[in-house]
Amino acid sequence: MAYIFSAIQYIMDLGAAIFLPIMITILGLVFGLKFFESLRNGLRIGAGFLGISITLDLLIGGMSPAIEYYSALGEGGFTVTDIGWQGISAIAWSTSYALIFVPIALVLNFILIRLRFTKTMDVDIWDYFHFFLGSSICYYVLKLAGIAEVPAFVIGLLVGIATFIVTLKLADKLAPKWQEHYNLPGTTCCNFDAYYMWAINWVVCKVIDKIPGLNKINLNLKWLNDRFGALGETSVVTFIVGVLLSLLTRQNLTNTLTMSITLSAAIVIMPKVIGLLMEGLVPVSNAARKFFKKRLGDDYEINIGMDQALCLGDPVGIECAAIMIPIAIAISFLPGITMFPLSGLGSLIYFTCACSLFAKGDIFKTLLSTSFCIFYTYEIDSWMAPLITQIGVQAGYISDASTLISGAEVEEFHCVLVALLGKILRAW
Amino acid sequence: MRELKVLVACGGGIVTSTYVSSEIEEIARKVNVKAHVTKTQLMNLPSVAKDYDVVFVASKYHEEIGVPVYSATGVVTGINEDEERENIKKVLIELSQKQD
Repeated sequence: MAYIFSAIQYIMDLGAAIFLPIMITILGLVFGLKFFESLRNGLRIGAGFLGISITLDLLIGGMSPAIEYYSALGEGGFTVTDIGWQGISAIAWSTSYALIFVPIALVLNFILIRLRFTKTMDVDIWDYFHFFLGSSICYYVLKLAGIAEVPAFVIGLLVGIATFIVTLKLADKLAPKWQEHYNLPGTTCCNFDAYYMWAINWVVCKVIDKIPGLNKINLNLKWLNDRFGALGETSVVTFIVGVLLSLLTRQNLTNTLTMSITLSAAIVIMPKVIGLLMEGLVPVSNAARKFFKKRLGDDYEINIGMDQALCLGDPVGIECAAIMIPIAIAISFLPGITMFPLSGLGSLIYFTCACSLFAKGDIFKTLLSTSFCIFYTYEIDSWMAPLITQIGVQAGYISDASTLISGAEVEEFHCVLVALLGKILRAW
Repeated sequence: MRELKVLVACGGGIVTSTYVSSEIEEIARKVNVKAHVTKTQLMNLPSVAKDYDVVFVASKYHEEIGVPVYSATGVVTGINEDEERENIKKVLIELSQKQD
């Protein structure tokens, strides 16, 4: 046992950009890919990693004039850089859990289907990061609380596995509603973050239904999208937001232009470098899907667990996405929020399309549910920033903990629970 | 033959669109259609779609953006994937012939 852990430790110490290419190469070989094909996938992932750390530097550097301004003010203000789900996913993928979790979860899922415990086959390997993000937060929390390496690692792993099993069950439950509302037969959703959105969405819609007057509001945003739809382009949005932030923090013209253009550049570059990670994972993910499908045969009724991206065509969700940008920025000024929304702004469509589920196409309910989701997300992301920054440093993405980072996904229930545990243990 | 400009969109222009674009690149190679595939975020579609010949989305998308839009959910989920590959093949061939 101790031997295995020291081996894992050695590989981890090499850093994510080194060990993940090795891991993906091996995983590809296991699923029957050719050696050089597998090696290419692995090396792409390495390129993605190095690319991400450069881009995060750019993003954090771009934000620094604003953060310096707020830090000098003392209390409150925006002191946290929003690295978005993109940055958070990259951090999760570069922890040692990526190495262990993927094969364990794949095999576990296969066994649970055979036992007819679940009908969900989650072969969307990329999104496994949601689960082991919780693992790695748990691991760091326990380490900070003074717990030894091995138990901390094992408990972290168990947190991830437990979340994975819960998600499979939730996905079973969601399947009929998801398939009908979004017209996606044979599938279900295995993004754990979507479930807190649906929880909030469900409560908000229930409450609105009870309030006379509110339940009759009927909105139409078509005219707005026709006029301002083109402004929704990410680079333009980030540029405008950069200018806004510069004005708020009283920057001079040079700083304003530098900040706005740098931030916009970072946001445009981010998907390209993370895309490299993804390109490395696609063949492995496809091979895994075929591998398991073949071995399960046709005796099992299966729903394919997919990324939330599949429901993003929802017409109401699309209609609401653009208007949520100014609303989300307004929400960020509420007390307690220290993360200025940046990388997250392009992802609002995930929230609106999820929130149209229980709103049943009602725009007002969708907007209100989304606003509550955003509020919850920004509050928790801000609260967890010191912890996430620590993990970012450990993962080797940022050089020191002097600038705080955070982003979407850390507000998922299992991450919040382990963070709360850490607070109780006075670990952070 | 001019290169076909293909745009693929999903939520963040990273994950699911990579599944779709790798499929499209492979299909294009098989049927000898030169295609340059670009990935983007769904929210960017209304402003960038006009620079492309065809758009594939991972979800069901019903908005009018002035360019033919096709759903490619099947190649991601594996449900009816063969049928959908045939469909993509047909679209790519038709579009490339139109350009000649």
